[in-house]
Amino acid sequence: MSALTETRNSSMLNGARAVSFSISSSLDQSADNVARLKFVEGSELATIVSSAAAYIENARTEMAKVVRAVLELSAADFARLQDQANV
Amino acid sequence: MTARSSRRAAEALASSRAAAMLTTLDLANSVVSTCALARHVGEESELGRALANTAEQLQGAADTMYAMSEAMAAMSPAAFRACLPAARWRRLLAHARTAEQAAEEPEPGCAVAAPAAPVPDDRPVFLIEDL
Repeated sequence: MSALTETRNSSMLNGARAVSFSISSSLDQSADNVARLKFVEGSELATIVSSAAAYIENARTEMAKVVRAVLELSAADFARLQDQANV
Repeated sequence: MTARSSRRAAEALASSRAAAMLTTLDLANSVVSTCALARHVGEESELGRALANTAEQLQGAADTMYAMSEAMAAMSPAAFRACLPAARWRRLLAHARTAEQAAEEPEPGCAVAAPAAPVPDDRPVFLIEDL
């Protein structure tokens, strides 16, 4: 593998890591925002808040897997994934 | 409901709706970023599947927050007030009262006014920064 290809693969992986961290951080912020919404139990708004909080919690669980995976990947592994995805 | 209470409820409703819309936009941006990353790695890998699942949950959250902002748009201030827990409503009124008193304080060099009443809670309630 040429130095240029290695640099490119490494740069792509770093980009993917940066995007993953950014999404994860934004999700944490959204979770905080929704947690601050307090409405009378049983009201329409309380039901919607509860549903949004559940979705966000699920998204955080999945995003934690993504962050772990991109941290464990090597630049070559990431390049292989991209090749398989035909990017 | 007095005219003043009604005005406070309308302000709280407007700022809460704006905050719900901002959260919707944040979530929608995350959906776009997640889908873009998923396209790069494909959905066959473990990473791709986790990204697809994340995007699905994020989309659900964004849709739900959008539904909240729409529900708020259809609400009267009195109906919104009825959804607020009593303690939050009291803090909201206290915060508004303190803000009004601060606005009424004279400019420097004018007659000295009585000190403003202490703020019962340093965090505003249902303002954008609170959400």
